[in-house]
Amino acid sequence: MGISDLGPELLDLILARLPLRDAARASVLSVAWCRSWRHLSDLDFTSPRAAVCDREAIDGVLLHHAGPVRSVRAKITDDILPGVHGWIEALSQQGLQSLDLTFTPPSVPSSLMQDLPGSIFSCHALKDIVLAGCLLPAVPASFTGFPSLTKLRIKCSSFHKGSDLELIISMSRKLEELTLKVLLVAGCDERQELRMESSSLWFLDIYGHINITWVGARLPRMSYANFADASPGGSVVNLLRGMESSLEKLVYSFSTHVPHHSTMQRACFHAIDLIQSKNASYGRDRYKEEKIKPTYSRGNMQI
Amino acid sequence: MEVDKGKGEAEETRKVAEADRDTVTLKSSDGKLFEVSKEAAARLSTVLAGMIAGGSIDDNGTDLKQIGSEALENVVDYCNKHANSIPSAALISSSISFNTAPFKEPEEWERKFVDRLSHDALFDLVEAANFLGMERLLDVTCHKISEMMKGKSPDQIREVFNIKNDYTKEELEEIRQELAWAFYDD
Repeated sequence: MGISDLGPELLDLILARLPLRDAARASVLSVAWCRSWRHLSDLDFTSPRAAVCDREAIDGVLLHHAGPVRSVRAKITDDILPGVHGWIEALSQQGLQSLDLTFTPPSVPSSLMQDLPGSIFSCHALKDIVLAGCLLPAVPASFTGFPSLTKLRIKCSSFHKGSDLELIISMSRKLEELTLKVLLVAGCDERQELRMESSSLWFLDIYGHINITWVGARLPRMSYANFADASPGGSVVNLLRGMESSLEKLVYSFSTHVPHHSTMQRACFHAIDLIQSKNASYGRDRYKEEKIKPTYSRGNMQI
Repeated sequence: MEVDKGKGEAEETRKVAEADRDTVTLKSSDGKLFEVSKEAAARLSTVLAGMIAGGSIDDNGTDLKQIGSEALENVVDYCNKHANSIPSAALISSSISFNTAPFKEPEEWERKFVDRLSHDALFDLVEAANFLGMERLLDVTCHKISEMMKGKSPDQIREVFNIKNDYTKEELEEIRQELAWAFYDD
């Protein structure tokens, strides 16, 4: 038998392992291959050989795609930016589950960052969002959360209002894992005081908020928290208070040059005490030995 | 591994068969018999697992009419090798960086296993793996084929796999226009 006799479904499996550009080019091999990339459900425009990260290419792919599209990953440069709105609009109708967009350059968040189109809020099937280097759109009044979202990672990005971030976290009721790195509320000189509330989150990785302070938290399922240096000291203390009852593992990296250092350290020791006393009352077998032993190494404290 | 045993061994096989056997016998479309570890077969193939659980395994050789002896030999060989190999940490680890990319790179032995196959044997094995619901083997074989296509021009791919271009000139031109972005540097 020849390769073309494998049938469309098996050919799709082979094409799914190729860079997008190679998969598209396979269309011209023979009639058996003509449907090829139109059925790929995972579109990665960033792979080194993709060479398709221009507007015409992405337009072409999405325009001729037979759907559904499960995941999209792309780097958004200035020249392809004008297309983004239409793409997300189109993808919201395709049952998109995973979106990974890096707007370049994603160095530091500022008011000049590129807008992420508001149509992201109509992508109801999203389970996994990764955003870097963008200004998130204002949350519409009708927003009721991303109903399927479990993983949210936002880096080097900014918000119109602090409450947008609060709402996305608290209203996405299946959200389990949250990573927030170097965030800014645009156009604000004063620190924004926010609360983090979620009854589903169990993983939090957070550092470097430029003008955001977490003043309170209610995170009853949080079991793993990772704080780093640049989180303002008050935030760490307040977030820790909101997760005391469930926290099982805390990773906290700090340098002694940070203001509030001693407050943070006290809060962490308080958390260690709580984890340890809980451990004692629940019986030793519930936690592994290494989880409850605070250790220092080069300014790194791990419980 | 084809079952080709002397009298004494056949006697032995029957005795084992009476007890709880730890292998199953599979019969290819051309009537050849192969023995495979029951544990590995059940773990690697959803179809065989279903047949074992449902009691539809025939001790005299379970008919797999869709699979030729060469492909079945490779399937059995893969299962037995898999049963003997210690999976690496990469295979066990459940951490997936991007939730749409669950494919784990082939192990060294899996790579060698598919590298030695002829094109025909490889395609037959893809079909057999698909028929038997062997997700990992399907992954590994499709990965191998994609490696052979990666970075090649359509003409080169046609040559490697002996694909006949059955488009008309007009059809071909139409597709190339539609996919202009994929052919920029040609």
